[in-house]
Amino acid sequence: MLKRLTLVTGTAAVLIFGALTLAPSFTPQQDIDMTGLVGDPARGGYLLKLAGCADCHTGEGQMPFAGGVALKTQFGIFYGPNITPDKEAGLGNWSQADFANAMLNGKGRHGESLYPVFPYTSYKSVDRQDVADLWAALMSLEPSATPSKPHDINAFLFSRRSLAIWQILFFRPNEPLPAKPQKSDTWKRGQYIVNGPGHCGECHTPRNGFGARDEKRLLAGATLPPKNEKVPAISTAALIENGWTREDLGWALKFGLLPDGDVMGGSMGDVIEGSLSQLTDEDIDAIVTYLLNE
Amino acid sequence: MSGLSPRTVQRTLIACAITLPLITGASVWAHSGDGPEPTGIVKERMEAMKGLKDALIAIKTTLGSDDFDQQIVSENAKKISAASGAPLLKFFPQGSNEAPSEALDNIWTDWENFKIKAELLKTKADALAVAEGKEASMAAFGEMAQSCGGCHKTYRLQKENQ
Repeated sequence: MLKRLTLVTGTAAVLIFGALTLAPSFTPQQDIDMTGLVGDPARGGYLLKLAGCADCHTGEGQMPFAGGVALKTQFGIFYGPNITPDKEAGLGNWSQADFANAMLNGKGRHGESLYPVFPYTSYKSVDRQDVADLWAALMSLEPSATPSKPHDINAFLFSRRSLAIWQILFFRPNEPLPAKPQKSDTWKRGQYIVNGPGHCGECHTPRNGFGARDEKRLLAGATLPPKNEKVPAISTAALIENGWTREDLGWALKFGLLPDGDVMGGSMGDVIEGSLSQLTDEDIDAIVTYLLNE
Repeated sequence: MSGLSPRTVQRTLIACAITLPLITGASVWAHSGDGPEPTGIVKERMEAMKGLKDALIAIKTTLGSDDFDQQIVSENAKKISAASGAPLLKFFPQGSNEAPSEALDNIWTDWENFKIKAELLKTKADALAVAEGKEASMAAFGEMAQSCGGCHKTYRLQKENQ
């Protein structure tokens, strides 16, 4: 029995080591065709808020989008990078196509796999025109020369090679959202915001041991490291079971106001302040329509 | 009764006298929720917060209604204003965060900033009290709610499922 166990463990170890050593760290890029797409910085500015980009990319005391926010995970501490147009410290040397490749394919400028703490597992479904608008908004920012902080993680376990394997196993690049032709335009807009740029599922969907989302339990609630913060389920079934009405959900999203009069703090407080409170009533309505599946 | 000696009866009564309060106590504890009942300043603070919540609900109700009433917004915003700033700070004497309080220690290590936030709530509530029309009231309400959330994010224990 012991011999068999040793054999199985040994084989697994050899396979994992082999995969980590031999796997290509730079997988070929699937180029995103951005031909003819011209971004609108004003529209992109709204999308920056909708996607809550500043939450991770604007550190305290830093210029907007100059990076530096520490994201503590079970795999180590990641620091949101500088995404201003500075040529050295930011994205100044990137092209619109490079940016699209990061958003939709989870690849860096040189084809390297990006850490999924940058939520490309949601952004993969973002509309290409929206990508162009976001890019235009970012390129209209004041450049900051503040260098991005290196991540504080185990360099071997979380190398670009292991990330490439992670992406093969858990990520389908540039994947559109499931088509629901029978649903209203408002519902579809809500589906897009929640699962695309709004990336709600990144916190509200449970993850497996490899940090990948359990897509079968979309929006079913999760526990967030490092403080084991309980993130509630916001699936339609859970919201209905917990008595959420259309009106209450709208007030909670727009103002953080809960049905009992309490005002949310915690991580969701940041999301409301930086993102949801600045959305149009139509977009809040769309999110509510989608979440309650109306 | 003939089978029970006075000694047995005495022992049974003593056993009951000891165990009954324990059982009753445990049952009361079990029904009291997650922890101890608030007392003293923590209790007063929780009641004051309940007053603020009721005012927020009153404003929400009229703002969400087709029969919008500016008077209700104004009256409740004044209530919130009167309870914020210095009066709110009085509910937070140094170290008053024994269970079931949700107040964090950084209130007192970061007291000056906490004071600014308490004053900000007053400013925002005052602005709501003089807002005119549903749209302006809604915008002022949003700003006031944000000041509530700003404080809860920083100075309140992370609540489960928020």
